Amino acid sequence: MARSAPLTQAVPAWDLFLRIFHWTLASLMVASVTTGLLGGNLMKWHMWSGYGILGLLAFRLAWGFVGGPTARFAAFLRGPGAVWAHLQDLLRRRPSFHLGHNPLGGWMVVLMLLAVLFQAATGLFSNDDIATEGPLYQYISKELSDRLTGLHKLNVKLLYGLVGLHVAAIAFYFFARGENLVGPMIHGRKSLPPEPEPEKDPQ
Amino acid sequence: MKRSLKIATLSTLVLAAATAAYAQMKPEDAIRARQSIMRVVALNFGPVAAMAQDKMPFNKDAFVANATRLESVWAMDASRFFGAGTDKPVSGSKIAGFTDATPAVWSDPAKFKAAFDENTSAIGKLAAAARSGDEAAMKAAAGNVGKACKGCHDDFRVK
Repeated sequence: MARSAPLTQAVPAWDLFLRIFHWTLASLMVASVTTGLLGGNLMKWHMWSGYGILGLLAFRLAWGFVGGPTARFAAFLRGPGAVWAHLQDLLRRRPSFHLGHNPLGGWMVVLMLLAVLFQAATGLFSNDDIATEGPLYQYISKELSDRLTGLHKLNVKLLYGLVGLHVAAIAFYFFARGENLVGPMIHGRKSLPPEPEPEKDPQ
Repeated sequence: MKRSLKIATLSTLVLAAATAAYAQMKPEDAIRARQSIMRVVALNFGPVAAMAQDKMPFNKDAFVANATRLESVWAMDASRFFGAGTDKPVSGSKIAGFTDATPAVWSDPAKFKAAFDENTSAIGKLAAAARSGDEAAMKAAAGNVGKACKGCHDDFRVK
């Protein structure tokens, strides 16, 4: 029975540590925004959340060199040609398959990581003129700290935009292209697309 | 009779002028006044917040002393010193060379007053909690003061 095998086959896409990184980062970002907006005694947890995020970013940087195949920067950072080709696939509604990040998503990942890093790094130097100061505030002038605090507040808006785009892209792939990207980030596997030209059964 | 009327009129005028002068404090002095009050407010709230967030070991006497002083200093009412002409730094002034007040203080005074009064209420509750001596209540009340500070700063302080 040659055709008894399923048309699609689930293969490992995201390694366990990458998935833990992703969902922990998402949780801590929600925690940071919540505690930052509410203020008060929650500022203590705002700072701990920030330290956690910095730790996660350090892990992600290292994992980009020694992590699973789809976690490595060298694997998913592609040139403009590949990005353009993927855009063409999207515009012309051609099917495409990428085990890890697609060429466009790869750069989005870098952008998000840099924006989160900027947020956490400026937080280290920030002060709120109430009762909270980042651990490195004492090494810089009040004026510079005020400016970095302003950027810390401004960059949140960029992060809202990037996270919104991230979620919108996931919804787009799900509804417009029938590809569920959330599942693989949970269980780690992606289904290979069916063979483009299945062999005909010999009559 | 005429003479005493003259004196009475004159004294009334002098008193009125003096009152007006106080109400229209020089912008330089008004900016200095509100910033000085807020600075001392922060100096008293700092240790209270640090203890409330366990960044500093809880010391009831120190907490009560700071919370009580905070209430007194806050009662100086920094909101009186945001009069007309104090929305911009005074150029060349050594004591009022900057101001972090946003234009909203003057364009939406009702909202500014409400945000300011919110902290008056929160600080009153903090002082009451300090008098009660209940550690958990003191810490929670300190958190609410921090929130009220932030509530006003978000709209009325530049950063």
